[in-house]
Amino acid sequence: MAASRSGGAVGPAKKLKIKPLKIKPKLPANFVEETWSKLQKAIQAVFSEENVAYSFEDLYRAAEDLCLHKKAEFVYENLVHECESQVTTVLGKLTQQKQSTTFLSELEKEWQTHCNQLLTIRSIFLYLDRTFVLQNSQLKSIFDMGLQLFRKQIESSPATERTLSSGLVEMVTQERMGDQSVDRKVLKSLVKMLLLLGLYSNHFEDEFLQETQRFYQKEGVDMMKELNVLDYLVHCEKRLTEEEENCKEYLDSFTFSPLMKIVEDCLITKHLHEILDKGFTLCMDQLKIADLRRLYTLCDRVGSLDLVKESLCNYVKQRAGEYVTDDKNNSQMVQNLINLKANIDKALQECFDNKESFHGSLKEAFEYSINLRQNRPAELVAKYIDSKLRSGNKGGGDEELENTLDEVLVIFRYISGKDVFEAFYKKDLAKRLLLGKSSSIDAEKSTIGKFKTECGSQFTNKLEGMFKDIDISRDIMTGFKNSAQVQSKLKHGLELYVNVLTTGYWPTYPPVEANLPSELRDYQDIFKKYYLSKHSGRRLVWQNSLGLCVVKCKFNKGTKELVVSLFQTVVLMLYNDEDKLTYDDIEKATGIEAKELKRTLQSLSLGKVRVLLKEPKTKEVNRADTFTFHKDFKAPLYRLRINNIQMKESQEENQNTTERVFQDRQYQVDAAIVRIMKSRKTLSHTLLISELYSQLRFPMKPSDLKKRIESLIDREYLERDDENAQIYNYLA
Amino acid sequence: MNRLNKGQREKVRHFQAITDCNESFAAQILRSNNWNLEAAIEYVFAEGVEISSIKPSVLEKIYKVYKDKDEDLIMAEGIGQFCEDLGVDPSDPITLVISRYMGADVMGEFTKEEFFRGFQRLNCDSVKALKKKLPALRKELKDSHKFKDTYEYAFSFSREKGQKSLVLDTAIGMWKLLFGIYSWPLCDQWCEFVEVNHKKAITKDTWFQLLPFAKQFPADLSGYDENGAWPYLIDEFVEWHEEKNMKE
Repeated sequence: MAASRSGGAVGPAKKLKIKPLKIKPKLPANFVEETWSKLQKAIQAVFSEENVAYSFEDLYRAAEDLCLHKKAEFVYENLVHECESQVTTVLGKLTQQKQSTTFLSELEKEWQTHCNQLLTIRSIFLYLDRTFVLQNSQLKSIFDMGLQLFRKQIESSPATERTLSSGLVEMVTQERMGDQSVDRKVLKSLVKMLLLLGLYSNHFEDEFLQETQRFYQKEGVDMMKELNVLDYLVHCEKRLTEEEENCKEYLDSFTFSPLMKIVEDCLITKHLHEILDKGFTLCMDQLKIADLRRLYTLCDRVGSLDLVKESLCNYVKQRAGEYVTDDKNNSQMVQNLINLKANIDKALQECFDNKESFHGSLKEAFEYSINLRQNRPAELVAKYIDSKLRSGNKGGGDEELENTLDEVLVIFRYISGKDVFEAFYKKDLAKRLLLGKSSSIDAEKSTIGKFKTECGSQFTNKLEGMFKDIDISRDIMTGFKNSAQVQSKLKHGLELYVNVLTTGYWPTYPPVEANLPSELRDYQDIFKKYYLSKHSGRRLVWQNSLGLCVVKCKFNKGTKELVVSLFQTVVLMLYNDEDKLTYDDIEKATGIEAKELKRTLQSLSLGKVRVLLKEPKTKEVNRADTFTFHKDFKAPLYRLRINNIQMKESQEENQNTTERVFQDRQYQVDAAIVRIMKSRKTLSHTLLISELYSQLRFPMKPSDLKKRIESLIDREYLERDDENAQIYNYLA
Repeated sequence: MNRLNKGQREKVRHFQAITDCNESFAAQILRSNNWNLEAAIEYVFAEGVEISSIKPSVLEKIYKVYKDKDEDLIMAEGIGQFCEDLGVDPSDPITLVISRYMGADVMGEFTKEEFFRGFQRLNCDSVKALKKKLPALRKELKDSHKFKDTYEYAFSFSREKGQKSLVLDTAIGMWKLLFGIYSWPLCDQWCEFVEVNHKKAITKDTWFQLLPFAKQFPADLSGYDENGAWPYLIDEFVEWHEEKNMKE
């Protein structure tokens, strides 16, 4: 070795010359053996966890030296050999251990130690690792080599391998069963080991998933038996979160989706039908928001929202169907439907994410069930509105009324026979308007407004006409009262108010004859003259059955005012002259038709307010009865209403309305057929039917349409085509 | 005849084949239509011209034999005699065919005009000649196309004067008669159905559509589509038939 040095204190600079060594330096003869044995000792010391006799720097140098002297391959081979024997001893010892928990914890310990030792050894042989090993692609780095040896050893003994994976799976299972003592650290580190060794997917994962499937399959079946559906869902939710967390904590992320799929399948999908069958109606009936929300989320997870939708629709069909077809509870039907709808809406908002696809199916379900029964629901909806708009409807201000109307409107929307609704609504509206029973004209008008936006002005045209008639009548009456000419003719003590109704706007009323008292008849004539003088060319018909009178009546115990119908008045007026009359007398004098007269007499003698006394005192009115004026009648109020009979709808009236609607429908169908055929001239049966369905706004059976078509063929509006009987031709 | 050229003779033969009349009459009609075959045929069928050269005087004699004493008509009595002379039963469907040739408007009476028309159309100058034709007429009943004419004619023929539809009892009688020849296996069931469930007169449309229905569907009515244009009474019959079969 030579060194050069420059600079000095004295004299001129000396020149130094470097000469080659005389003798070529040589390695000591046993250099390789010695160095290796030093390293070997160190390795063994590391493996046996003893103190290493040399400093790590020395050892590093030694390894480096050997490599520099081209002994790298030798070193590597020996190193592998050392490691192998170490791993064999260590794991060999472990295989004796039969008890799986101890085996696992020891294995974990060994594994940790092994890794640490490997790291130390790698530090010593870092130079080797970085140079020789790196340059040889076939060789594994020292650390990987160490792992591989470990793996080889495990793989070489199937028993160990089995104990290992089944031990791990068992640990997981125990944890699932709620065993708190399971050492998660061991579990986690062993799983990590398997991952590092590349043993995870082929040895552990399959077994783990199989076990998971077995476990949850059993649990699903057991729990379904054990728990009620709602608790079961809570349980499922808990399980899913647990598994999710566990998976994140100690499993490989690749296992996540197959694992969750298994859990979802076993716990939810397999039992979904049962869950929905048992739980859905229950939840909906009691509107358990949280449970429904959970159900929805779980089903969403497993992609079975369609089933939820189906259940919801079935629920609606079932419940609404029950309400609609329950003939005994007609009065409750509309309210029930409104409540049902409100519940469904709430569930939809709060539990079902207000899902778009649910809306459509719900609408269908409602329409289906409400129209299960023809006509009656339409009629009841009309009646329901009537009960809300009629005066005396208790509770609720304008706002509440408005809300109720909006709710009913939703039900109204589902009804397919809107014409039936219109007929009944019109009839009730007429009564409210004419008998002054409407609670508020504003509310009436706002209701009509709602129908208008819903069904168009064609639908409300006539209804609006009714209001117009009422308004116009008011003007007419003011004019009538202020007319001097009229005033001069009028007797005092009698007042008349006339509503002039336009035929067509109002329901049709069958004319009922009655012999009016002369006072009334005169008055009517005066009005008729007055009216016709203003509007010539019109025809006035008096609708006796709609008349309403206030009659002053002097009883022994004081005077009363009776609010009665015109027919009741006519009967009462007879008692101005007589105190006692037989049925026949009354019939002859009044000229009222028998059925109507019986009803009238019944209301006067058998109702709450009995101003006539009937002999004999039976509950029916018979031809042989006599009626006496009740002189000693008393009542706490001054003004008494006896015209309830007019307000109530009779069976007959109801039937008439329905029949009229059907009659109207036939005309409408005929008109539609002729209209279509007139524009098309020739059309096949199928096309005609489908065209008809698109035009008609009420339900009709195909067979009914067929009857109308045949009737038109018979009346020679149409004919069948000569060539093809399926085609109709229009006959001009 | 000799005055006609070859083309004209050909047309006369053709015309005869279609209209079933004698030569001179055919030539006469063709001449008046400028020897246009199609126009001539159309004319004959549209106008219902009597295609015959049978002299009215001959027919007058036959007519007198059967004429009613008081009215200028052949009434029930005359018809009975007429049938006897022809050797047929009055309820024999062949009478329908003869009536159809006469274009008789109502059952049970022939006007003079109708009676003449029948003999001329059939080209007969005596009852005997007509009797000879009977086998040919019977064949018409078996021919499905001509049967349709007879079937459809039967509706207006059996209808009461001024009525649009056919009284149910008459209709059932007619069906039994007609479908006796055509042999529709469901005829009895149909009649039973109509009698029990319908109880009303039969419209022309129903009457007319029943024959194609009977022709189109087998006895088990398979392949029937109630959404088709068949009259509703037939729809109901099919439904009734199915229910009945189910019960059995």
